[in-house]
Amino acid sequence: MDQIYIFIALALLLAFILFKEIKRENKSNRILRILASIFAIIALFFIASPIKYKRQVSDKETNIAILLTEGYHKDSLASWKGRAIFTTEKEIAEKNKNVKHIGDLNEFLSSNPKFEIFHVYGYGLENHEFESLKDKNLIFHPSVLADGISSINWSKKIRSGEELLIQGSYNNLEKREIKLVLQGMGTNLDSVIIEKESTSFELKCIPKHLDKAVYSLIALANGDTLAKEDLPILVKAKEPMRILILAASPDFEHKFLKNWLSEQGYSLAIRTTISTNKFNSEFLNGLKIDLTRINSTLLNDFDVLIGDIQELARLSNAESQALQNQVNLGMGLIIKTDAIESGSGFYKKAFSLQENKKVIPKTMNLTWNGQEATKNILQGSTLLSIMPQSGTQSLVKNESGDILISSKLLGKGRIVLSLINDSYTWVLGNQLNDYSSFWTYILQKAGKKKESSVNYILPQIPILDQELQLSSDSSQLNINNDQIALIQDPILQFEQRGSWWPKNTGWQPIDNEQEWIYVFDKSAWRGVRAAEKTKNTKKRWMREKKESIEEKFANSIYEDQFSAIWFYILFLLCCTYLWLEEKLS
Amino acid sequence: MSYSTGKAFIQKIKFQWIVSSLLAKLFLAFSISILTISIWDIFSSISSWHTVHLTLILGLIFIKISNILKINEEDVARLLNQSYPQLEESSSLLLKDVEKLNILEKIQAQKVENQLNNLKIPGLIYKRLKSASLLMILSVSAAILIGKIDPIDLKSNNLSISGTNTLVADKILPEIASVSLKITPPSYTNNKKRTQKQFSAIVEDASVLEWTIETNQSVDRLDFIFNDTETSKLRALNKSRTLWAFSRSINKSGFYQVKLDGKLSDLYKLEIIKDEAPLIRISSPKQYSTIDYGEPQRTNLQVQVNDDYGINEVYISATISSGQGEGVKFKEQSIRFSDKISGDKEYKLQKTIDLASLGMQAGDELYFYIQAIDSRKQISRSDVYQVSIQDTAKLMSMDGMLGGVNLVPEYFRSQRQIIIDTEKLLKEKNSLSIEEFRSRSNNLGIDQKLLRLRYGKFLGEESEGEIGPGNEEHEDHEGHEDHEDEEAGANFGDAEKIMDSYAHKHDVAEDATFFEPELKAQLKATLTEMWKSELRLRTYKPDEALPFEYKALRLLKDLQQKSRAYVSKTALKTAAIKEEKRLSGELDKIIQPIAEKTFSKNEEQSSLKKASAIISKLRNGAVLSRQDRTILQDASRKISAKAISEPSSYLSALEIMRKIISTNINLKLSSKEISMVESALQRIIKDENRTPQANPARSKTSLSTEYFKQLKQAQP
Repeated sequence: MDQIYIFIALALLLAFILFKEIKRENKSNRILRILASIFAIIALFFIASPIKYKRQVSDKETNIAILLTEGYHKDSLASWKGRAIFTTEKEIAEKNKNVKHIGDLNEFLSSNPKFEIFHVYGYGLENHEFESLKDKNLIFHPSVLADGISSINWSKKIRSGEELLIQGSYNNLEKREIKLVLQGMGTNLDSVIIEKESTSFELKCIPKHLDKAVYSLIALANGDTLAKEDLPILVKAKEPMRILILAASPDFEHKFLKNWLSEQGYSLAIRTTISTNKFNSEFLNGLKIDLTRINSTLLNDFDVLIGDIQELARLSNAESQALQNQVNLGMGLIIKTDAIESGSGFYKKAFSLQENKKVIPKTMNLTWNGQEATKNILQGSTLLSIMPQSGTQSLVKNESGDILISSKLLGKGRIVLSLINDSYTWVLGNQLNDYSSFWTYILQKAGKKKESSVNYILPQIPILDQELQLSSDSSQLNINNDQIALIQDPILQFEQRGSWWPKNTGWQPIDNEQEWIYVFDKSAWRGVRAAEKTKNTKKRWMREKKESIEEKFANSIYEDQFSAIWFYILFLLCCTYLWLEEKLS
Repeated sequence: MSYSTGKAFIQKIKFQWIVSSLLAKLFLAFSISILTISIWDIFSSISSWHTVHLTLILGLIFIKISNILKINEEDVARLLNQSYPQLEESSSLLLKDVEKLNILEKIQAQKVENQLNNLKIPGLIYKRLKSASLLMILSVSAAILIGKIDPIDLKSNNLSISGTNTLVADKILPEIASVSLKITPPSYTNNKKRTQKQFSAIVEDASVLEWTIETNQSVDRLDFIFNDTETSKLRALNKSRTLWAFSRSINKSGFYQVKLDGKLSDLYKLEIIKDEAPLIRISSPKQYSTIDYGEPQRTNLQVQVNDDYGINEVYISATISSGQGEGVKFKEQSIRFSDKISGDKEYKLQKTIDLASLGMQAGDELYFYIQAIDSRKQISRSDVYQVSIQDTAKLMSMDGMLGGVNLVPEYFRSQRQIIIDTEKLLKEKNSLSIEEFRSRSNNLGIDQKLLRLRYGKFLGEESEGEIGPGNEEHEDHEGHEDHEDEEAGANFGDAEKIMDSYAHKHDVAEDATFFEPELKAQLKATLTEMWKSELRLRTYKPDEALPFEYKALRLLKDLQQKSRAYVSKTALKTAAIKEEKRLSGELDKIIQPIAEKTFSKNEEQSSLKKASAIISKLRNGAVLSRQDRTILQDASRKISAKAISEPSSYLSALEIMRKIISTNINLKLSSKEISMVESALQRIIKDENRTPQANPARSKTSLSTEYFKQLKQAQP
């Protein structure tokens, strides 16, 4: 409605001016003057009500921004010639003059609200960048990952004697043979050859050092070093177990087990029944207690109890109850039996046995935990096996799939039933490796778990000058004398979260050297980080894109107006002409 | 009138052709032989004079093959005709007798001769020579190139990669002007004396080393410190005390240091090349071999003996055991090889031992081993090998069957019976007609077959129709035929018995587990032997069947031994135990033994492990604490102990380690040096067996604990 009034007013004004012009005495330039007047009025009209027009196509183009991230391909920019290209990374901006560097995405967005659609090229965005672009439309064009290691995982903290396992995958684009070498302590510990396009690899070794060390993973092709990455490894001292053995009679199995464990420095107590209520007690490597009565104070000192089923059946009710309570609290119980009777205690119903009416072979192949070993069978033994049952976990099987050792959880602890009573044949046959691997597996499975005082959740690859998200369950966290402000997790109330910006590379102590964190250099594990970033960005993009893109495209036809400045200029020109003409004539 | 000039021309060409062809062949032979010899030289050194021999041999062969010497004028004329068209295919006319030519031919010959005078010798005859000489030039230059590649160079390069730094020059004290080390290898090596200008040395075991050191100034005292422990004083040779000497015999690896007026040098290694004992490899016979009936009583022995310096003596030490039980006798003797053994590094020896000539009879056993003595009088001997002659008499004996369990005696008797019958048949062969002989042989074959089928039943083989239940005993009990028929009649009404004879009883529990698999395998082997014997018997060759019969019998005997279980008889009878009195004795006087023991933990390894971590810390330029230094000092001592036995792999690491410990500030180490110490430590640390360790668990406040608590509350 306003326009009508403006129109009427201007029409009146025009009529008046035209009247004045026609009435004018000086007839020269009349036509021009009339034209100038008309144009001036028109200009005035358009200043008052600007020209509006709808843009559909052009509209989409001006609100598009191209955001480059690490790893983008130059050729991909060809179709965006003359468009606004931005990056948050300085290196990219320095290399390419057409690319504008943005210091901070948030600030950039608030000053340039017109950008609605962002084409992201390269490996993708960091999480915090994603947060800033939450309301915008993102179109992600991931780059192909570069040649090199694209994922890696290794056990950062192990205990002496444990295996260090490194797994990852290598992106071999050039299709030449690549050798990955695990090097540590001046020696090559393991190596693997990667032939195909992209393969996962596995390297392992048993580290022979204590405390912190940095191993390296080297990629070689025809003798050239392609990459050398650090693998920080923290080796802690051994965590020995305390073991109690209750033997119904003296036998070789216990004797060999005792010798082996005591040589490794384990605290060990053995009670062997020699007659009714008469026991032979042996204490190895410290720890001397009265073993005649089994009670909870006695059991508290042990992580595992190994007992013959006959001996366990002989325990009084109170003793049996104490044992059950202790298992509930986390102690391991290994029951050994060679007959089908299942005893009488709380463990009675845990397992059920069956006898195999098969010819007893001379040897048996046992498999456990991915390992295999052949064991001689003593003549005169019966072939028993444990029936599979829900709630039990089979630990050792023979070649025909019969379960020989099985386990079941009871409270926090674990009951293990073993039918193998002659593992010492391995020692006699000089197969000490099999023997120690077997007992390590069984004891470790059964043994009481060692609870750490504080838990830390640390990022996989901490990088210098990049924010790290940490969490711990203590209320204080101190890294290399930096006190970190923690916030309690709203759901998991015991968890405290915080973030930290590493300022130095290398090992950093956490909470007075309770734990260590290794901060990598900025150039470390580029391929892995890029792969991680691409994966994250893709995931978030896929999740958010569907709703938004269509919606925004529907509204994206929006009005634009012709800038009023041009009409000002036109008006001014017209007025100038009218004024000058009068002055000159 | 003759065409003498033309003929002479042709003859000249012929001569030149032959000479050039001969030369070409010789050049070819030479180039082949020089290449062969130079390549040979890489692998094992060979005198280059052998080239001449090879050239001559090859040359003669080539000349012989290519018929060069048979080139005649006709060939030359043909060549000329081919090369020069202006001769109009007529040069051979010149060679013919003038008188025999007709006029036309004469005119043509005249014309050709004129043409010949203007001709050059055809280039074709030198073509071979040219290519051969080119080949020779190429092969000679190749041989020179090959000669330049010194195989020793290649090997020493490999060595230096694998850790020893033989090529690295010693760092010597500035006061020492020169050193000369004279190494006299012991006589067993046959190596020559040598002199070197270096302190570090690799010498043969028991070498004598003589040092002569010249200093550039007068020195008061010069000592050698061996292995960090033993100090030896050098003696001055001149008055100005600038020339020093020392000598010592070395029989242990280690290292030493020069101490010049209290100033210590670097560590120098002394490495010993040990003399290995001879290595004996026996390729034939097998460790246990049996000579069956009918086989020749000899064994062929093939041995290879190697040593690093030389073998002085090799012989066979043989022991023959004869007799049985208490009457067993042993006879020992050593047997020489026929080859002469005179100190070479390798011998391939062969000997056929005739067992009969050693006085061995059936049932005897020969045990032997090879003994070799090298130039240093080191003795090594092989495993003991055993050859036994099968005793057929023992197989026939019934001894084994008198006591114990006799599982299936009749079958064994049958096999034995077949053997006896076969031998009898062979003995009577001459007195029998062919038909008779053949029918008896065939009958024996049938016997053998029956026996085989009977054993086959144990293996679950289906029996063939002709040995049904009625016929089964037929061969052995001919006389009882009627009786059996009667029995069959008596059983007429017994349905079960009749069923038995036709039914297939699969489910007899005992049958299923009658034999162990191993036993079955042997039974199968027995059947194979029986089958072979049957084949021979049926084809009227009882003499050939005999060895198989024996073998079958032997295997059966073995089977019998295996399936026998002895229960020793006891005469003692004990009174019945009164159950109520069992384990009811008074125990109050019995004490409860308590034993206690503490094993020392293996701290040594963990201190070395800690040392490795400390060394690796140095890479980032860390500063060592006092505690670190004590750990390193301990590790250094261990490296030093190792360096005495293996100087080449630990000496440089020891030196760097000492540098690390002694330098307080400004310790500058290259990463290569750190790696060297690290790898030395890693080599000393033993591999660990896995031992059980408590698994880590999250702390009490963790999610899993929470979950566990909730679960417990839900399920009381």
